[in-house]
Amino acid sequence: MASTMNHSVKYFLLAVVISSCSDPVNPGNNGTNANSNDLPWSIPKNEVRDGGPGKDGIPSLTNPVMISAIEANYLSNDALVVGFKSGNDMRAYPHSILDWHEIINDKVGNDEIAVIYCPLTGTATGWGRVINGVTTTFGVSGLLYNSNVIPYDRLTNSNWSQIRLDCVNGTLREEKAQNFHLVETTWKTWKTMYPETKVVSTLTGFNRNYSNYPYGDYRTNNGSFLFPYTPADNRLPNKERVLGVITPDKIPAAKVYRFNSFDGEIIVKHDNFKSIPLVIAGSKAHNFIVAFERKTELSGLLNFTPTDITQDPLPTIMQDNEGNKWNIFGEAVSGPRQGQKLIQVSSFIGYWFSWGAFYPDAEIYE
Amino acid sequence: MTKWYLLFLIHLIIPYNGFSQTCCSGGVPLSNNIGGLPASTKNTWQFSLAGDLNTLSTLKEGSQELDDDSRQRKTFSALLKSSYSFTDRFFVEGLFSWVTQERIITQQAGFTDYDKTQGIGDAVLLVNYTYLNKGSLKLTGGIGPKLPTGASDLKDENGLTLNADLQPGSGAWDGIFLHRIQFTNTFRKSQNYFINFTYRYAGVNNKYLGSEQYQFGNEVQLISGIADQFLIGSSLFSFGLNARYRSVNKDQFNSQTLPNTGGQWLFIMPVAGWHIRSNIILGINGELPLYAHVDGTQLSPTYRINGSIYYSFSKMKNK
Repeated sequence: MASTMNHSVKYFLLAVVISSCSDPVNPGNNGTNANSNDLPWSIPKNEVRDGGPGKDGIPSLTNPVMISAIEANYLSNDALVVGFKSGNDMRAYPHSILDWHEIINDKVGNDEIAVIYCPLTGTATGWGRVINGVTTTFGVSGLLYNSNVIPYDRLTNSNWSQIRLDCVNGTLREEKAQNFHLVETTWKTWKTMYPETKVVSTLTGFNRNYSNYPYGDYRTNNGSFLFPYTPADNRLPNKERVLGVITPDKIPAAKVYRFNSFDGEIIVKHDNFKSIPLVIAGSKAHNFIVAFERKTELSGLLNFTPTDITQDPLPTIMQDNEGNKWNIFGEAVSGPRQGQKLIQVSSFIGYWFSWGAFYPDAEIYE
Repeated sequence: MTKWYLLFLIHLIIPYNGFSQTCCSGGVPLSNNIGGLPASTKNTWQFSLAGDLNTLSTLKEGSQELDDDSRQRKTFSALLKSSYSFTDRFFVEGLFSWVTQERIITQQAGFTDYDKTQGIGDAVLLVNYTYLNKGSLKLTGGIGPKLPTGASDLKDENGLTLNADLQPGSGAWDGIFLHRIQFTNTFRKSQNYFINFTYRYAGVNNKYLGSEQYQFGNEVQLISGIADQFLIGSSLFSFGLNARYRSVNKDQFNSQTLPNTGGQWLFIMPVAGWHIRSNIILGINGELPLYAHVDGTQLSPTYRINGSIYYSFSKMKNK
């Protein structure tokens, strides 16, 4: 209270002092949460936007309370969730929680993971949060690039680009994020696949109405944006959800896959993108698309076909020419390669406009 | 003359949240201060210098207050108002501002993030005409522009352009219409009532973030108040109580409405003034929200305080 009064007095004294010129006052930060924004950026600095709420104005969560699927009665069947699996520990991170917090720092099995979700680009990524051997957490910087969240790590205060999957400012600039494979689908599909899953509770420690989507008609209105992005690519509707695959090249390229290409129970497609042989499995009916390389670390190229969902229920999604069956996380669940994993590719679902902006001339699978 | 001062006090100390910015706007207190100077006699100059602190730390979803004090916005404004009466009915007034805005985030183990901007704010020019002055009733209409004199492209210390609601100016020409109804000499000779209606049509900033379009929501305000004067010792004081209703449409970005902007508010505001001399008045007032319904989730005004000094002189008198 005393502090508030002091501020008030200060302001009234300032009342009669009228200076000239507009001036952003050098504020900095208190505590140890200093910015690194004055260091070079590897993205155009003049396109980095202040999102409004400020650094940590959107509060990330760390080690949130988890509940069982049965207890999660706040989720409707068609609610979108982001799923992660580490060993036998499966967890669901609902969009309805992520819309308000954007980042959830968690430990799943032995994996220290930050689930990062940008409501404005509809992109969810899972990043490792062990940096230089130190476990840290990620927070919301309050900055945006191409309307996409810029997380910061609390170890070095470096700023990262979610969709670029790298650090763009700070002492870790140009470091790549350690990317975990996530599955985005509906709550119904996820809990059907993994009924023993844990899911984030609404008891987050923050007073928010998680049943309300905070961005109006943003998800469905192709003309609605809160911040600019460039370039615009009108080949697809701006807010269409597509799976994008990003190459690991120095100058990465992306290719996107539409749900319309997976109109059925389970559809499996082979593709070749920038010399990477891919298998893409998806289901419009069950609302998922996932992509992997067509091999494991120990195998040659495999040929995949979809499994019959009536005989091999989800999460098993495909089988190969060697008699292996694979689940939605690319794990061989039966067959001679049981226990092996398909090589992961950087892929995640997001609104089309963000793929067009971050990866100009992104290929579209037809 | 006494009535004249009362009218001044009533209008000087009218609330101020001002141009609605985005979700957590501190607000530049222009529109609420317009109309603060009363109609006067021919050839009279009036001046007022005010300091205004508007604090927003109440997080609301709709009309429900959320238990979250991690965000705070403060807008401090120095406001210079001046008017000149060409006739007993016709006068023009101007309002010029200097704005300081702060954004304070306390989160995650007590870390604090702090941003601040300051600069010349937007200005308002208003032409007023008293078209009815009969008995205890006076009706005055005013119209004029809000000029984009304030910067709308300030960057932080690291060169990152700040959000619209942290800018001292809106970057747009607005149109303001004002109508005042004043009753004097009613139940008590020194008692006054008033109702002010203000409508602001917000223009478009076509240079937001370079070449984007940003338009703050149009705004309607209805302010009603009562004031009276009392002799305490040998000094004359004025006291009053005002209520202000404010309704703001959603902002627009590139012609699309922005969520978490706009809303309705009802404030109560006690006012007081000390008549140091016949033409010098010190005024102070505070403002507290009685009701708020915001669109989506927004920071909403928590309290506002305003102090001012007023001075006037008449050229006729001096001659």
